[in-house]
Formats: sequence, C-alpha cells, structure tokens
Amino acid sequence: MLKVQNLTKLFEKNRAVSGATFDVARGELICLLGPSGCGKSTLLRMIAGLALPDAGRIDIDGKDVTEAQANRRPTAMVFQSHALWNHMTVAQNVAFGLRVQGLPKPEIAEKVAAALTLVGLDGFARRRPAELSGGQAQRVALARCLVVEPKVLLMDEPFSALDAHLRANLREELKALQRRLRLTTIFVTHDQEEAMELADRIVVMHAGRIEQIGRPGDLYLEPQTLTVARFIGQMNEATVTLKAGRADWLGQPVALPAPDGPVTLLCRPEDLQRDRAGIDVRVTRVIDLGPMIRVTVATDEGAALTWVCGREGQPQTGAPLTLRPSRLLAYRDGQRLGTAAPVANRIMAERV
Amino acid sequence: MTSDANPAGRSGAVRTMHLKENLAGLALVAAPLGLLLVLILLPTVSMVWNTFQVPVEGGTVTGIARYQAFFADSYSVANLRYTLIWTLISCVTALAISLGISLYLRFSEGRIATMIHALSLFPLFVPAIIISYALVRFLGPNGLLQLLLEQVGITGYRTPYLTPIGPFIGFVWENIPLPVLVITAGLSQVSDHAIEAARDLGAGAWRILFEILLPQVHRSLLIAFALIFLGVIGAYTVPYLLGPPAPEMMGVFMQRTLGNLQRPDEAQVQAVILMVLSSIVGGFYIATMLRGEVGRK
Ligand SMILES: Nc1ncnc2c1ncn2[C@@H]1O[C@H](COP(=O)(O)OP(=O)(O)O)[C@@H](O)[C@H]1O
Ligand SMILES: [Mg+2]
Repeated sequence: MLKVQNLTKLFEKNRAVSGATFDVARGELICLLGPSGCGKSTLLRMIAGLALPDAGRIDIDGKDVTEAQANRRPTAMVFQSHALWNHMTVAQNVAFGLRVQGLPKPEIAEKVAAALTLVGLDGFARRRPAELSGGQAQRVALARCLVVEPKVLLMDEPFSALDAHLRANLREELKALQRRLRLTTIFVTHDQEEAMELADRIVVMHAGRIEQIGRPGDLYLEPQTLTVARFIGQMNEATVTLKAGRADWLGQPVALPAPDGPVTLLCRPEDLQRDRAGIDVRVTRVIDLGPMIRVTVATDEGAALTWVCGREGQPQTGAPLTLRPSRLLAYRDGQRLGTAAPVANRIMAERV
Repeated sequence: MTSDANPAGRSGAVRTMHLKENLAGLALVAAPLGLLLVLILLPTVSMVWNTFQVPVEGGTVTGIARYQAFFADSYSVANLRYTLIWTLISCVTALAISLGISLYLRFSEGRIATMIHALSLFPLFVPAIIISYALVRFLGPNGLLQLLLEQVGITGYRTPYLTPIGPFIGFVWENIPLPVLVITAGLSQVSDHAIEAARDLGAGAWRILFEILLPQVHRSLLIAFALIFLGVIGAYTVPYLLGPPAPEMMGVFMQRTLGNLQRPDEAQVQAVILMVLSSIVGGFYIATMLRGEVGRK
C-alpha cells in the first residue's frame, strides 16, 4: 500500500531523516516511535508531501508520489494541535476537503454527518472550535481527515497534548475505528506505551535512522540494537569482558558463544528471580506500583539493579537478597550478539 | 424557601458591589469625559447648529438653505466627489499593498523579511509634510525619477505632481504601516499547521488565501480600512502640497474657503458634510468592534 525507500531529509547538513525504508500493508497501523527530535515528524511530513525529501522514493498504491505536492496525494494528516480553522464551524471544518473535491452539497452534508457520527460528535456540527475541549477538537480533526477517505491516514502525536486518562480512551476508540474501517495508518508517538497498545508493527527511530521494525512483543523480547533495548521498557545494564565464551555479570557467571571482547549485557527487571544461587544484593528502595512492586537493590560493588516482583513476598528496605538473571541480551558495537545464559556460580560449584 | 432566600440576598450584595465599582469607574473617567464634552462636543454642536441658521432681513431663521447652496454649487460638489473617490481608491490600494506585504511576511523569515517589515513601518515615523516634499523632489518635474529615466533613454515622463495621482501616491505611502501592523497580527493567529491541514486536504494557494487566511483577518482589514479612510478624507498637507489646484480635496477646500476667501459660514457647512461622511465610516468601525466583542462572548 505504502512503500518508503531510502528516504532522506537534510536540514542544512543536519540529517533529520536518513535512509528510511519500510512498507505499510493495507489496513495496517504502523507506529513511528522514538525520542523527541529523532525525525519522526519529518518522515511523516515527507509522506504527506509537506516536506520534500532530498533522496529516496515514496509509493502509495503502486504510484510514485515522491515529487507530488501535498494537495495531490491521497493522504490526510491529523496534527498535534491547533490545526482546526477557528472561523469555521465543526461541520464546515469537516466539509472543507469535500468542497475542495467539488462534491455536490447534499452529498457533502450527508458525508459530514456520517463522519461526525463516526467520531462520536453528533450534535456538535454547529459549534466553533473555540467551544470544544482538546479531545473533541482532535476528534473533529480526525473526522476532517476520514471524510475524504484517504488511502493513508497520518497522525503526528495527535493525543500528546491531552491528559493521560483521555489519551487512553481516545487511543482505544481510534484502534477500534481503524480496525473497523481497515484504515492504513501511520501514527507518530514518543510514548512507547501508546505505540505498544496501538500498533500492528512499530518502527523505532533514533537520530534520524530506523533502528528496528517489528511487532510490539518482538521489539520487547528481541531488541536488535542496544538503542532499542534501552529505549523500550526498563533494563539492567552492565558492560563486561567476554573471555572464552564466559563473562561475569555483576557477580553472576554467564555463558555466551561469541568471540572475546567487551559485551554489554542487559536484563529486564522481571527476568531477575530470587534464587539462593545468585547475586548478593541489598534492598535500597521499594516502590508499590499497585499490581506489582518495583524494588531497587544494590550489589556489594555498589551497582544498582531494578527488580519487579509480585505483592506476595515483598521485601523490606535494607534486607539482603540473592537475585539470579534468567535471560540476558548481549550487544557489541550497538548490535545484538545473542542471548547469554547464566551458569552455576562459584559457590554452587564449590558445594558440588 | 429559606434556602432560596440566602443566595438571593448574596447576589443582591454582589450587585451592590458591582454598582460601587461602576461608580468608582465613572468617577475616574468623569474628568476627561467632562473635558471632551466642553472642548469638543459643545463647539461641535454649536457649529452644527450654526450651519442651520440662515440670515434673513432683520435676523436669522432655521433652515437648510446653506446646504442647498453647497449642493447647488457644481465646484463644491465636484470637490466632494473627488475627495470621496480618491479617498476610496487610496484606501483600497494601501490595503491591497499592505495585505501583500503581510502575506509575504507571514510566510518568510530571515534578514530580508525583517528588513521589509522594518521598511514597511518606516512611514510611521515620517511626518506627512516631509513625505510630501520628498515625493515632490522624487516625482516632480526634473525630479530624481525623471533624471534617472532620461539616463536610460526614456523621455516624455509626465509627472504625477499636481495631478490626482500625486496625493494618491502620498496617501498610499503614508498608510502602509497601520494595516501591515494589524494584518500581520491577524495572520500570526493562523498556525502553520492550520495552513498545512488545508493544503493536505487538497486546497491550492488561492483557496487557502480566500478561505483560510482572509477570513481570519477580515475584521482587521475592516478596522484598518476605517482608520485609513478617516485619516485620508480629512487630509490637508498631502493634497495641498501634491494635488492639483482643482478639484480640491475637502480639507484643502475648507482651509481656502476659511482663510483665503474669508467665508467661515461656508467652511462650516463643508466641515459638517465631511463630518457626516466620517461618522458613517466611524459608526461602521464601532459596529465592527462591537461585533468582535459579542462574537468573543
Ligand atoms: N524546519 C526545520 N528546519 C531545520 N531543522 C528542522 C526543521 N524541522 C525539524 N528539524 C530538525 O530535524 C530533526 C528532527 O525533527 P522532527 O522530525 O520534528 O523530530 P520529532 O518529530 O521526532 O520530534 C530535529 O533535530 C529538528 O531540530
Ligand atoms: Mg514531532
């Protein structure tokens, strides 16, 4: 449906986006995820035609639109804020795209009413944008795009100006609507929770480059680069030296079939378990998150680790523990090297 | 019932407080208002009253004979028509140019744009008389423009000096800054995203101009129009220095009637007619302002 190849945009030698390549299938929702300033908006604006790429190619539905102006592309975009026209009513805002297409008035009225129903704003047709809440304004902006039936719907952090509760509700509604209408959508966000919840696939960006493309679960379990591993979810990280396929991670011997050299090993908080054969630590902080407990611990050498556990067996601050990592992701030069497995530690070996 | 009485009593107290505040406010404006009344309104009323006093043998009667005389005099009517037409042409031209400059400034940034912005406000700091003399030296016979044209071989330059075009150029020059200020302020209310959203939905440049940008500044345009109109219709210096000897703008005509011809009665009639025209536009200005106020509520 949408095909982006090697797309690059420079702002005075500063590479805002470089070599972005990905596909979006019909009816798929793709999230562009990355920290602020990594080039998400620039990439989206190139797809919309609001910025022209310095290199690369964009195809929509098999047609090359790389050079086409924004008003000649079958895309429609929802912006973060302030994009409604204040001098028009809600209905006039939504009708705009149809009037541009020259549709007859009765047909416009019908489609506008249908679009407003779709986004749950029946009876708001004659309001002005100034009389809407932030969430309602974004619904109107969405209706304004949906009504022209774009081949690709683009959304640039549409909910990030709203409060968390409303954001969660709108997210769910959007996902339901997108599924029902089988909308091909690209959704930009810097919020990984939002991306995880919405996306069929996530495109993780960093410093203008695409780091990894994958389904939310795959990104979490198998991050292919160190950047992705650090960006998505929480990690306990330490760089150690690998020698003859063995290394020592904060006192825990691990095995990794790889050439000797430095390697960064990361462990998710939930991949630490209480185990008598493990790393000796002391609890420094206990944070009650409700469904689970987040515990910060310190090793004898002073390294801090984060561990999450259930409500039962909740430790006290200052208590000694032994924790054992069950799964460690290994990276060298920023790229995935494999998965390191813990091996029996020295004390155990002595006992045996 | 008792529960109702309490809020009612409180709202009564609130009303009294509002009244007190209003009274204090009135006291504050009383002095300037009084001055306005004594120094402007009273002389105006007395002058207007005076124009309806027609001298007859042995005294005066109230009537409109003086106005009939004005409208019966073809030269006076020609002056009035000339004033109105060129005031309108000057206003529309100044607004159109200002709109162009403001649109350019809205979509450009950098040094050149800043310079153009500063340049467009420059006439604000130059008195009309200096502008007029500068234009005479530039556009007048054997002025700079004519010399430059002759340098490149263009002869037969006909100076706009002492034709209606002369004051027209002066008025336009004088009246660029104000509309540029109000229109740029209006245009800056339209976010980049609002414009991009229109483009994204298929709108071309003209549609964006007429349906997105202009509606957001049309009130600014109306207000700027009224202010320029009021300034130009009663102008004296520019048409006196640059305009033709006849027909005359009303300001010049009035001054000549009063000063050279020593006919204060006729000058008063001219003044009242000018005042009526101005108050029509002034009323329209106030109506626009009020509509904005109500619209905001
Ligand atoms: N119009 C512009 N001119 C110059 N630099 C820009 C412009 N737009 C974006 N940039 C730069 O490009 C980079 C990417 O920006 P952007 O795409 O907005 O990031 P994101 O949306 O991920 O926060 C940033 O470093 C930003 O400063
Ligand atoms: Mg952005």
